Amino acid sequence: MTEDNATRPEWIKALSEAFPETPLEYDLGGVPTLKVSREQYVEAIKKLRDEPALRFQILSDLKGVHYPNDDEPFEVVTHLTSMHLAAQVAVKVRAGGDPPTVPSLSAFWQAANWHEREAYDMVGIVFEGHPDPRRIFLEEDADFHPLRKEFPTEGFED
Amino acid sequence: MAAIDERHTMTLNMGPQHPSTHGVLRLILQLDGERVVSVKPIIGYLHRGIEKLAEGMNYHQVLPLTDRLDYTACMNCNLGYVWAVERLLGIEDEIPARAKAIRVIMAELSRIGAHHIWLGSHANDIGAVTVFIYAFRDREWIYELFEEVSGQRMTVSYPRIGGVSQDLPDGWVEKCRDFVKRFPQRIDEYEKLLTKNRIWLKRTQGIGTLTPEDVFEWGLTGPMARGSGVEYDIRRVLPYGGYEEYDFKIPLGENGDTYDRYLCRIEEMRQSVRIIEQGLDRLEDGPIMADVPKIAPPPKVELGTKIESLIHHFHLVLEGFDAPAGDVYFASEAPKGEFGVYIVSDGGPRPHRMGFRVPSFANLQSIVKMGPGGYLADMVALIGTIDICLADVDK
Repeated sequence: MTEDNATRPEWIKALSEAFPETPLEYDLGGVPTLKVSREQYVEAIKKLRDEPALRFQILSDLKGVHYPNDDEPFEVVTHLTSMHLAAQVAVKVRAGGDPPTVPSLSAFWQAANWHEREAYDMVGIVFEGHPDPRRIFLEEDADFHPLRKEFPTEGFED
Repeated sequence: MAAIDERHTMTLNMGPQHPSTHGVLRLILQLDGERVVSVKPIIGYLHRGIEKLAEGMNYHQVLPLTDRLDYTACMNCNLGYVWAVERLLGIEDEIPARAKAIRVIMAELSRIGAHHIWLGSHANDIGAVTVFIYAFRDREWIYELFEEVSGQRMTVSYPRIGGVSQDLPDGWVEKCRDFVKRFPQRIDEYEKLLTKNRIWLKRTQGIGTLTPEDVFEWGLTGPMARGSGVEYDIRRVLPYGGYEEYDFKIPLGENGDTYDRYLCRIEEMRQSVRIIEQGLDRLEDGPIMADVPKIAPPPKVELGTKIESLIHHFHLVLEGFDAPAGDVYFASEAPKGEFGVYIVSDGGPRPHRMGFRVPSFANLQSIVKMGPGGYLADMVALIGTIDICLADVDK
């Protein structure tokens, strides 16, 4: 987004006031993106959901992404929707450790349950505090996570 | 409900081949007599790894995969994907007016078609077989319209990045107008069979009640949210593809039960007809493909006459185009709820990550909440009211 501060809607200002230390970035569709650390993650989500000026009440999407060339290669991207602002926001957090771990959001939304199970199954990100940390699509005894980049798209080897 | 004595409960496997589970959903039910104590859904029997497959393809090649997500509403999946790529590329403003109108018409036709499958199978599961036959008879009407424009009844792959694959054939608009004129009477017919039918009322009223809080808690979208009175329709909240210019109502339920969701979907069909009518009025002569030759495929007729077009076509099919590096999340309103596409591009012709947020997946979870406390027979009504498509759930 190339808009300057003056033309941005009110809620974007409220958003940057709520997160003074996190610089706002925008994705290619103009959706504001917050990149937070693992320690801030749960707190940030809570703030986005409960802050009266924001109220991002709907957990639209949660995906795991693998960036094999980065120091912390696993990222969780959460998309939240606020009906009263008619807007969406993205929150990105990098998973750390081995296996890569981030805190679970299942305490905030029951909806996070399956989305996080999918991210575990597909990318292998472990969600700390998840009530039911099983695979969701693949069989329980699968020993791979297909959406990791080292997993070939066809055949057994790339 | 009285406390449940563990010793008297029974575990029952429903599915994955149970006819009312529409494909391959497996539910492990804990039963106390006829009462459901707990529900444990097992999914993944239809997992095809569409997100992984997409990573190995260029953006044009991914399109037919999206047909196979929600195959009952393939046009909505196609369009959701195409709109998302256009936002990624920043060519949303380049789409010609005619293509925009055609897309809205197709999206709404597809919504009506998907609601027919929901209505037919939902009613059939509960015992109203006649409705099933009526619904599938009229769905054919829509599929014939699709067949004329795309050559396919299902898995249409009709839109393209930048527009639509071909213009409407001669006489199509008249046929569609005929549909718009005569179809609302068919909705009245379904309503005559069901809306005041005592068996239908008994089987749906008060079944699977969800409050607005539940809707947010479980991340429900589409008619599942609107049946509980939550006015969440992405066409209105985050308009896209020209929907902001159309006049339509968002039907809302009051009680959040299976019956209210039924009424919502029925009314949605009427509203879709209104949108189609407005779309047909907006159809003006003009191009159906954006003028961005590096991205949009050239018209078929030019392939035999212009060498540049042939080269572009070859290049787009074999190599694809480079997308700008970055990511984008695009949500659109599919018949079943929010269809989101999350694309991460590394600047190359293939997506680094292609994530699909499918409505059935998110909505199906709520059966864990709705099931317990009801009767075993209500499970069938609940599966119907969530309106799942297992291909959509399992990706």
